[in-house]
Amino acid sequence: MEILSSIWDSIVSILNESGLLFLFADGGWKNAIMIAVACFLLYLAIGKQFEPLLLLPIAFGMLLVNLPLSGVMDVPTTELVPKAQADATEIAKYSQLVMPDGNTYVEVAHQGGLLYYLYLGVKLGIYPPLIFLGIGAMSDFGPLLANPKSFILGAAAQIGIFFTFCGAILLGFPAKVAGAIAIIGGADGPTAIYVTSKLAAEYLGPIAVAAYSYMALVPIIQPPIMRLLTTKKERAVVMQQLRTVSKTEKIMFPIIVTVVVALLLPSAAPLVGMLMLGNLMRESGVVKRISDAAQNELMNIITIFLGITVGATARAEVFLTKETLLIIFLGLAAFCLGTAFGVIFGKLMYIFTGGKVNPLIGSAGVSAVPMAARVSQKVGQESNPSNYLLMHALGPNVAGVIGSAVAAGVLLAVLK
Amino acid sequence: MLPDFTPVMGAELFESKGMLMAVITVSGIVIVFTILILLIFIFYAYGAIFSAVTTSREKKKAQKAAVAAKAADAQPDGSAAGPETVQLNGETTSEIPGEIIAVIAAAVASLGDGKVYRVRKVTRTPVSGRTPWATAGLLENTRPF
Repeated sequence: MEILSSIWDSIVSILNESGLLFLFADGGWKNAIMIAVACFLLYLAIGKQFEPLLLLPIAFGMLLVNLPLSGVMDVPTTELVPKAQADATEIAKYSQLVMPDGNTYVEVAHQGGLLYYLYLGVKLGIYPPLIFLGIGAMSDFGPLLANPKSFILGAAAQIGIFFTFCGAILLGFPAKVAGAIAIIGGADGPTAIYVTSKLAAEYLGPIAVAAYSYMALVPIIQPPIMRLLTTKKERAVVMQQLRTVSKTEKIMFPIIVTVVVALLLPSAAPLVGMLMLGNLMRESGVVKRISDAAQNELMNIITIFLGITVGATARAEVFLTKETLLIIFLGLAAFCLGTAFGVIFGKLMYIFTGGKVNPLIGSAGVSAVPMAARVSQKVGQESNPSNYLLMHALGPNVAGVIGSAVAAGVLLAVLK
Repeated sequence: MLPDFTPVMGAELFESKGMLMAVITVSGIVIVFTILILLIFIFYAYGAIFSAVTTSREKKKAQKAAVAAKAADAQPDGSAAGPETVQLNGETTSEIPGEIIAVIAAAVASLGDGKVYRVRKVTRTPVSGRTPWATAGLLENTRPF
């Protein structure tokens, strides 16, 4: 009988120290909801393959951080233990402090959670520029160089950011938070994370989740707007083949863009600079090993760290608020406005060039490389199956990456 | 003594929400467009320079090629005519490398339907517009999601 009692006590003790009871304690239901949300996102990533490279680690980070008592995002702390109560190891290991009351305390340090340390890369703005390095190494700016007019579409699609900023202010968000929400319209995950970490780090979870969710939903969100704003005749326009761009042009491009953007808008230099460094490594052809590392190993490692730590910022008490719902709504508005302005400017180019530009390529100006360009291609082929818009849409698409980095620079310069 | 260029910025400096919204929206759109339009001009000028250089190089190459072709035509055996078709009986020479013919023969042999095939002739077909390889690349990149 005594044995049974001991076993029962052990089980109760383990249960009391587990996170299971916490789920049923006061406020624990919020964690349960977040676990369900994380599982839903995992389903989208695995089952539906929506941006799985990012959504999967984000969702798993969200799952980990909302499991009660997991401590994965715990901040490191220092506890003052009276010397009399400290054990010999602590006294030997940690420094001692004599307080004004005359007592000596040992400064016992408690380590933070694993993800807290990985999160420093987000907090200090290190991961997003490194992701940009990889994107630059993977991007071919040839279509943009062959048709520099595409820059206009990359700029037009950023207008949504600024209108969304106004919307967020009118809904009562402080200016810095409004800026961080508005950048979702850039449809560029690393940019959104970079700006948010600088302006409103406490909203990183909802903003990153909204940004990546909408990027994953580009094939669903954009086509209705594109069809609504264009006629079948416009959508069927076949564009002329692009000119061949020489290697020297491609090598000069990242250097010129870096100098121009960093001189005019220094706050955009980290993002644009790393994007262009990656591209220079690719186009120069002399550092193939480094270029390959940036495109593959580095990009993959940073993607894991970025994804899981961003997901880990989505703690129940931060995520399950009215603000999150507003952020998700405003993010959608920003995305739709960006797409709409891109298509509207595409229509203007259609008119001014006498019908030589297919307005559908304008929607690719929202970044989301290369998904947005593929959407332009797909919608274009609905009207004309023999039409190949992909290369034409890649111009505004990569211009959108530069445009969103510039827009981020503007927000940081004015609001920080 | 240098003038003070410390930027005077920060959301708290704006008197009202309306002022803040107007300043951010207008300045943001203007700056984004200015920088990207500036890049358009730079890359148009830059593209024009490179196109001019490339065109002049191509003209020179074309002139050289024309001179070489004339010289080849002048030869009595006409050996420089450059056959587009290779007869695989060992009599005709071709610009098509032997490795390519071997790859084509291997691809045909790998049909695997039990029959024995023999490649008798490889003909280079003039292609107008997009090449089959470019078409294959496009199809690969534009598959439905």
